[in-house]
Amino acid sequence: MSQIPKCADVAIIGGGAAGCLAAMAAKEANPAAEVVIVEKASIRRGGSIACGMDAINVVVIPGISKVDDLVRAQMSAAQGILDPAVVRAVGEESFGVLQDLERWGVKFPRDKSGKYETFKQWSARDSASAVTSVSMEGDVKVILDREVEKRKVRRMEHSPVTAIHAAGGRVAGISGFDIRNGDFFTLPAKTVVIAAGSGARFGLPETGVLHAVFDCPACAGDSYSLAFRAGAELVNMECVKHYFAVRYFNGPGLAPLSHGSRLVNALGQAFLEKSASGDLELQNYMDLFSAVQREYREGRGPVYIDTRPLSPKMVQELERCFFTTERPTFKKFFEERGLKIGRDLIEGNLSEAVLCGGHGINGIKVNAKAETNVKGLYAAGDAAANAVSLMGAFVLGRIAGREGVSRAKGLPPPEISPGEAEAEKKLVLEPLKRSEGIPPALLERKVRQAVNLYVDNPKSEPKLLTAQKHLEKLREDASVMKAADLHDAMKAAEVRAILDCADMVTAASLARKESRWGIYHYRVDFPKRDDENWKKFVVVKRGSSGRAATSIDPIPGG
Amino acid sequence: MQIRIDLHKCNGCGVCAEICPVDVFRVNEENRLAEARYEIDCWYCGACEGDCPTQAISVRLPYLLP
Repeated sequence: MSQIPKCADVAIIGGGAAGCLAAMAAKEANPAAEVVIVEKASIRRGGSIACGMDAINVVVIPGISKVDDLVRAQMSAAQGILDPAVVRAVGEESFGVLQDLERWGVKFPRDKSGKYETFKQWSARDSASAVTSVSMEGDVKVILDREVEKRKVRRMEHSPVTAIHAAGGRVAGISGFDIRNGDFFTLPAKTVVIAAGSGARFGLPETGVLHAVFDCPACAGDSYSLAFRAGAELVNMECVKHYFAVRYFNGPGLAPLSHGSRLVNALGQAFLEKSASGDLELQNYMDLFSAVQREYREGRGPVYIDTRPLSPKMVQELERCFFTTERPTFKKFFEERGLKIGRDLIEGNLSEAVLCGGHGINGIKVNAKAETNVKGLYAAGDAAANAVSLMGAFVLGRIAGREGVSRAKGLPPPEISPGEAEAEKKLVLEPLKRSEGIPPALLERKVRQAVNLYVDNPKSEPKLLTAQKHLEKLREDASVMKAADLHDAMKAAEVRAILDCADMVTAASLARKESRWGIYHYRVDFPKRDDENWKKFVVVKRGSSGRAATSIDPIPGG
Repeated sequence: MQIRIDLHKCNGCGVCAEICPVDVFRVNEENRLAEARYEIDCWYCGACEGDCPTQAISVRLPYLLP
């Protein structure tokens, strides 16, 4: 870890796509500002896109797509429960970000006339408008790492942040510890950006392997828990996402469908009916998810991705995206099983329950300036409810950094209360001192089992109330965790975050007395969607008891 | 073993320990070579394989995957 500054103008939690763009934007606006990225792993490979990404799902390219269309498509996909101003802000700066990425060395393939190679997501395959996606090549994280370094951003790596401190209604700084030397640190900060990713370790995958999850397991819900404990508001926590995945590996299963594969059940039957509303992205995904779940439930599983209809060009494109980006070990998965794209049927299923503000719609409530309700606290990327995936991370990160550094100007250095810092230090390091106690990995398994059994769909009031009882007990267990070493102490902190997430999801799921978003929030006791009463946000915030409390808010501009 | 390190190729540079997104690696205090100390936490993203300057690391899929 590099030397800790006395006070940061902008402290950024997480060095993924959003955090890097935030840091660069802050330094570009004010090169003299003290800007720090605090990352639990490294900036070079930290975050969900460690080994790159094959495409940017959302970009508004002048002459091809329009911001209005993007806003309409995303609002419709979120069934109206999203802040349209946030989506608009991302759309407006998206092409600028794409051009900057290209200048830094990320490749976006173009045809002979110089036009970007665009494609459509599976759900928009039959529609004229909707969202534009572009293919992407190049080692994005390595490029961002270099650009961050060029701008003299300070970095504190291998340092999970475990608390955000506030004083007098505004942010005062952060604290955490270095997992290599065990030093606890506090960093006073005039503004803080939460960019610590999604909640990948929420449900337990069907393999039972804790880290064999769809999204990067380093993103353990830290973002949501940190925000919650700092008094920030979160929305849509009841919208619990599942991906459609290549079974067991948990790799992206929708990509083959976007490129022309079809879905069949174990009897070889195509079971998806074409949706009447071709351009409603998430809604169509939800039809797909419900259908897959039904086939398994009614005994017609496994479900297969039939890759035989793929054209040779598409096979090549899929092999490139599967075998060279995201998790290149996908190649070994196909090889070990003797599977070949274009020749074989590949088992697919829904992933475990995931929380995600970029691919899903749950997360920290922000406005178009990436501000939360806590003064000086911003959120970006999968941490923030935005639904615009990787582009949402890039643009909201940029906005948060820019806004944060501008706010910091002229503010006096804040002070972190010594008592608060001491209490946090004790909480974080105490598991290392216990001679006996529960290992964090064991407790994590129980918490995530409870999520599968009581918090995830199908939901009902009795089930969710039972979840609360289990979670209360598990929280007591969390106070007697024993960490074998510093790596384990990090996991203990992550388990506390997962518990906070489960608490928030349970409270929000109880509050939304309707069903919405297909299998993402299905209440058996309120099976119908009720637009008249529920086109609203369920807002979650830390209540006086320390547990999640909910309120119902109108949708901004809705 | 899910992560194989060829100790004849490893030069102990510590890049794997530096970059692993889920903190799997350490440089062993005794032989000064890489060790996959927390391989149970591997997400098999393959970052270590790609970044190792001597191609000493090979990541296999977890045995527990069906």
